[in-house]
Amino acid sequence: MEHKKTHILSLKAQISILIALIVLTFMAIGVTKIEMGAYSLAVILVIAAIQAYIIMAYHMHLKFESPFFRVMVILLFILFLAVLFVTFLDYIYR
Amino acid sequence: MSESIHETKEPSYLEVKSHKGIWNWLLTTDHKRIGLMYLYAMITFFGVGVILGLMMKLELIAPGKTIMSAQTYNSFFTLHGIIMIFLIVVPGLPAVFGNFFLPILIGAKDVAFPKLNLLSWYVYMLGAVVALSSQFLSGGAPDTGWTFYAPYSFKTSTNMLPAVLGAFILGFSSILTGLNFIVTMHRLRAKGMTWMKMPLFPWALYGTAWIQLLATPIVGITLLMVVAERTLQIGFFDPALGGDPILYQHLFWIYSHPAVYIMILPAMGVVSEILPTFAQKTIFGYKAIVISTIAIAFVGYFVWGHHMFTSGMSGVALYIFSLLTFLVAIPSAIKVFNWIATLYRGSIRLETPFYWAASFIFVFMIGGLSGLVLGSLATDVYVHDTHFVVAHFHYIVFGGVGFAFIGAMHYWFPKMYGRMYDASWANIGWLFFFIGFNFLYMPMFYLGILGMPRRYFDYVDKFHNGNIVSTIGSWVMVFGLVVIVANLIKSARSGPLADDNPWNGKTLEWATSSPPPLENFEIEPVVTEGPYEYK
Amino acid sequence: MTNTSAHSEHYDAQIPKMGMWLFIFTEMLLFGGLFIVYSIYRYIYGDAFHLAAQELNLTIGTINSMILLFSSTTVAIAISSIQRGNKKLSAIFIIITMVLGIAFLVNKYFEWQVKIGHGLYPGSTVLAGFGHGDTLFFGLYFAMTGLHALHMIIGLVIWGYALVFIQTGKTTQDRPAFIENSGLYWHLIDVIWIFLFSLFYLIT
Ligand SMILES: [Cu+2]
Repeated sequence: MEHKKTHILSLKAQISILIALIVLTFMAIGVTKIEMGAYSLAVILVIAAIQAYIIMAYHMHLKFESPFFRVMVILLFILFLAVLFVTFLDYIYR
Repeated sequence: MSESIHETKEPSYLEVKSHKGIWNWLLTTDHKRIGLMYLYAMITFFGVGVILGLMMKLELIAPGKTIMSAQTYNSFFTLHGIIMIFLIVVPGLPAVFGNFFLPILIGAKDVAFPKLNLLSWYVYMLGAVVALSSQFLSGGAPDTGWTFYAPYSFKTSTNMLPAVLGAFILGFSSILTGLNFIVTMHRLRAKGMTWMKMPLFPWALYGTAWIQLLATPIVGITLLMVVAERTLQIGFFDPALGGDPILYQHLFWIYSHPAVYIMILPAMGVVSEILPTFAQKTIFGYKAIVISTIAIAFVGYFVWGHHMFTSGMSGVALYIFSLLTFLVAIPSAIKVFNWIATLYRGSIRLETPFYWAASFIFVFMIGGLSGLVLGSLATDVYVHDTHFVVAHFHYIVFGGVGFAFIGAMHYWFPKMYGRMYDASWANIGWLFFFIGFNFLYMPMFYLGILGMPRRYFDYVDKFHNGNIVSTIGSWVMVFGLVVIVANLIKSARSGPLADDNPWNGKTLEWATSSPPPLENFEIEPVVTEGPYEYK
Repeated sequence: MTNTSAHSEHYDAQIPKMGMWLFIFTEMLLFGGLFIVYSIYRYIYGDAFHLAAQELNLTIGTINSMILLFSSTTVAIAISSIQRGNKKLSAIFIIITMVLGIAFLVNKYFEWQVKIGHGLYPGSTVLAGFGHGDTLFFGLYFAMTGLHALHMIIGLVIWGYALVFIQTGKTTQDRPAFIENSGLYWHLIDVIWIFLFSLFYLIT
């Protein structure tokens, strides 16, 4: 009875999401061919994060859900990065 | 509102029989019955844990070998830790009182996923059986302590696999319970119960559930890594293969420090329920308690390193962890001040639950303040791995959670069974327990400062006096415990019938009958004001 | 503090969805623990990780990435089909998804077999000869892709149930929660793979 607005993506939209994801994958592979030293890891992770964002936003419908889900996913990533950072405080300065 | 209800009284949840005999329990999806099933399982395990503790104390009554060998002592403290931590204090309050009272306190009929709730109980029992089987399989009982520190946990020839897998399965049960509670609180609150009108025990469970959900997977994967280490020699934590044993400690405490808050937050929630009722006064600083609950849950995630001050961590990490540990003491202290302020000028009724709540504050303060000694770097290096630590965490884990648990038992007993216990025996039990508890653990602070290490079955003569006091204290405490349990068991069967609201409480559980009907309320409640509005 | 109100029984679609998301959080952190371990050892043994990664077959890894990306799209189509009420189309796309998932696992199986054939597996003397960095790299490689493959197998079982539920009418246009949640799970596996692919295959 509540708001019955399950958002359904069109086939066209889904195909373009797929193409975007494939293009990004080959971009990441291409980056490994260029010599960038430590930066290549950063670029690859950024590309992976963009892909993850696309999948979570569209395939996993986060874009159309209540803000609670989005906020929690963001907080989860912040939590993970913070834990990683604090752990590294030991290893970097050891 | 209660005049008409008694005439058309629905049968209580204990009278509804949907299956035959024991299946009423084993197949139930009623959150109240599931809560009781957890309770009975835990009391059984607790009995085993207490006996192990008693025997260890008896071993320590005199220097040298008294009743057991060193290896037996090692396996006893390991099993004592596994039982008490993974089977009782971590799941304890949420699984028993959370299950029973969370839906009632927020005016719901059940949790969001009743079948999953039953499954959690079975997963819990499975984990318990697997963990305890480590004692009986050939190979010998585990002897690593409950922390399973690498590299010893994959070098020892004892039965580590069942112990570690059991802990993993128990973690899974804990995750499912937390998941269930979060969804329940988000979706099933009664009409009119906004977040800021929710009682404090549900709030505490909410913070707890998030920790259960977000910290347990880390220890889960860590335990799986230990399993992989033992079976496949991957080398995650094996210095011989390039791994770092300290990384195991990091991962273990990333969960196990927040686990301390899984234990203590619900205990704080229970105390925040009991005190307003027995002071007949609104809780002081409701919002401050809510915020400090969430703050503890969040900051508590980043203080794990205080268990590793002597492990060889980097200096920078030491300072940060010490600082964060001091920060997390602030919200805990806020709560203590709020409880005291709640009592100030209240009309206090000296009943058994109040004694437990008040003594909770006492032991929690001792435990908390001694925690600061361990949280600061210089003093921790001095008392690390001594009996001081043992005293500290028993004051928090046993003093905190144990007192809150028994207090909750006496507070909600009339609601759960519809019968009242004998108050004078309950008070006698409390008195012996409280005195015995302090005689048992207080000397350990002293012994720790003198330098007595933990986890040894033997000691030098200069520690003798303190240990005698401590062992005698353990007898007094267990005598109190026996009185308490015997009184409750007898009263559950034949105590006088209890009123619906024997303590004049204001939260929703007191608005339904004792014991509650299957779906908790005959008429769905609608909430119009905050939880502790005493006029 | 209580008043009365009438009984109202209604299906709350948010409940299964929220439950599934919370479960996904725990899955993310389960892998998160391994990613922490990976990061630490990559930091300590950076050079060895670079050399060891060249042993992995980028072509097979890329093919598997493509398979999973495709399967994510077929899952999305299966879900939107059931939401539009087309049960048959939904079932067809679930079957395609399962075929893709099996293809991924077969691929993975052969990839593992080649590695094991070369003696690159935990506990082997060949690997121990290469040194600590290589040992940990391949230990993590097998642990993380293994756990990921285990999730794929669980995912396949779940899709099997989804097919049954479509047949029996337990999952319908009005109650698509089971398929939606299975989809969330499958997409999660995809997201994790993207990071595994980046961190194991894309090191130069
Ligand atoms: Cu701690």
